[in-house]
Amino acid sequence: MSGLGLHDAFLDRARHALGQEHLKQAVRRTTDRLRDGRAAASAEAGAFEAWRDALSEARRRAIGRLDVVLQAWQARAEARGVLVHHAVDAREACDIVVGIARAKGARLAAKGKSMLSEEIELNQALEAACVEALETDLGEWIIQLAGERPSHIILPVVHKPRGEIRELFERHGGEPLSDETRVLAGYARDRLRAEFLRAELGVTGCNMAIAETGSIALFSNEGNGRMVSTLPRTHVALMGVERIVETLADFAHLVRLLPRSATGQRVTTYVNVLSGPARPGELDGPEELHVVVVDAGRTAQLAERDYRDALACVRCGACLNACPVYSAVGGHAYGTVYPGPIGAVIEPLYARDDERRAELAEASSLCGACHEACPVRIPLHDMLVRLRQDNARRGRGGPTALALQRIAARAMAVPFVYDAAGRIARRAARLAAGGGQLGRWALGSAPVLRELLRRRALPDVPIRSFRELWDELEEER
Amino acid sequence: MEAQAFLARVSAALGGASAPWTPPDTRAAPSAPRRRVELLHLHAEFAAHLAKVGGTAELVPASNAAARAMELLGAGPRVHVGLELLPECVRAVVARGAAIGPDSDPLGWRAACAEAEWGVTDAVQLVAETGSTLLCANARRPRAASLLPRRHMVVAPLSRLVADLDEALTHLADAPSQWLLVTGPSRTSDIENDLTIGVHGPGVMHVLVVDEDEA
Ligand code: SF4
Repeated sequence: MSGLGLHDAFLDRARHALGQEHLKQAVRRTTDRLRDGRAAASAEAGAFEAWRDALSEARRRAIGRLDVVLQAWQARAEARGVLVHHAVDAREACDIVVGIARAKGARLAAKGKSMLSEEIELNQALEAACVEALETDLGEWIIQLAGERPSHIILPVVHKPRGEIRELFERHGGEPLSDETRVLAGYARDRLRAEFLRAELGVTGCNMAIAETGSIALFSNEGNGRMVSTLPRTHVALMGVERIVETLADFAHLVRLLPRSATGQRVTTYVNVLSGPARPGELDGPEELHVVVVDAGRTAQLAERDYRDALACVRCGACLNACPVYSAVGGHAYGTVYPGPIGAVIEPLYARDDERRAELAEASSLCGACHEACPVRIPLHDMLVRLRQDNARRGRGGPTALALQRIAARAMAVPFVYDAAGRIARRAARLAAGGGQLGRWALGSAPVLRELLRRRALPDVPIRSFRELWDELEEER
Repeated sequence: MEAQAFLARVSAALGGASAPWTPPDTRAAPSAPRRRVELLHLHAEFAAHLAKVGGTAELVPASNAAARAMELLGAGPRVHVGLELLPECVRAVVARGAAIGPDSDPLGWRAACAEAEWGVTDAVQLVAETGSTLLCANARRPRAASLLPRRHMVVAPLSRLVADLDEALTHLADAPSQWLLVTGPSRTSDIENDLTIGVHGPGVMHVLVVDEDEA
């Protein structure tokens, strides 16, 4: 274990990612495109800030009384024939879905895009029960064929060049294809069409539930979410326990902001709102609609007042696209299901004892761009600072780092000591920067500094401190 | 876990049970029907937004709607929602030839949708703010008509135009089994950010807005 007491997994993966030219360019191009799209959409819509206020308020209001809002939703959903299940953790959620698949004798589950499904590792659970789990979102399908994990919560396959996609499809279909987007997408359409019609089970996530009408909503552009919630006889939706708004009026703000924040679209191609299975006399639609409400660490987060607001997240990905760290290294470097600033906040909170996830709080420049981009104004950068403090308090900073921080805190409280310490430090750093043997030795010999320098670049060292300059200016006046 | 125990955990995390939830008052204030000139403005906005995402909308006088629909639909196989839901002037054309409607048996219906060149539906509302059509499922409006065919045609009278999402959503408090906003053809940017149309859903979406009382 290093002097800072944190695992180096993120650093290693980030270095690896930075070494891959294509990945770097692809991630950068995508985040730029999405960020520009969002900026254009927000400039175009004069009411953007008012909508942000409204959605922020609506999400916090629902989460602030989540128990009764959930209860109201469930009562209305059940009245319309929805079968509601509750899962405390990933294991229970998987067991419930596998149980439904077994009861229906399903051999093929066609899946719409769901980050929650990734989170609970549903595919593995289904396969273990001999149910084939097929991703049908184009990007997710490519990821599945490649045996990888999504690298972006909206565009899972941003890191893959078309040549590789063609090769995957050729291996899958055994026939030569061209590199053209149209041809590749057409191949996917034909292949997946047959599967939609064959699947006995459709599995989706749930972008948001609406308490007023007992509904669940799915946003999509491709239409695969509509396929899997319409064609199979049984539809199972996975819903994070916090994904709910109270009213249709609240939901209208989500319809406006989720697409704009995610891709800059005014609205996604499809906003699909389901309130129960097919009713008597309806020709299509599932016979059964199950909703599995999943906790998996979320109520624990609800209890931590400092971090409760992060539950307001609508998973738009805007904070990823705004983040200089994410833009540079891409999603895989985080090594978690949710990457980027929101991932760096919720992943440690979902599993407080996980050392590996705790270090993600370091993967940020604390510039606040994520907060600025967030449609529900989650103060992600503040939370990252707090998580770093938590890490230090839990001794994750390692004994030396902790001691150093204590000394620094004392020194900063006393101006005289602070000034003196600053003068010494600046001299040492100048010696080191200037190539002085002595300075380099001085820095290199302090294990804590050595560790720090491995993680962060040393800023340019000013000759004089701000306070010294200020004093001089005062004298000149 | 049992629902009660699950909700109790949520209450505990909140620091105690919340006060009972009261549903919002959804009685929409009765509004006067829009004047024709307003509707024409809304249509222009609707068509402009739809065009931005690759869909198309055209305003046709009722006297010309049948001819226009026939021209677009051609002779290929098609499916449709209950004819009584469509403006009267296009019913005969939509029902012509190899057309299958909701009176079909479920298995025949699905196969017909998968084969169809066009799926013809109505829309409960046309939303100017976003260029969206609002579709609601029921026994006369099966879901697959707008999903499986290669192209999707919406036929709706001009009077179905509303200004914004708030207005459209007030009509949904009694929750059909499915309601759906459709805005343009199916699309993806998953392959190297390159936009493609018609991945899983219809690759063409055309809205025929019928002007029933053109002067
Ligand atoms: S934290 Fe905010 S910006 Fe990031 S995904 Fe969630 S809602 Fe979007």
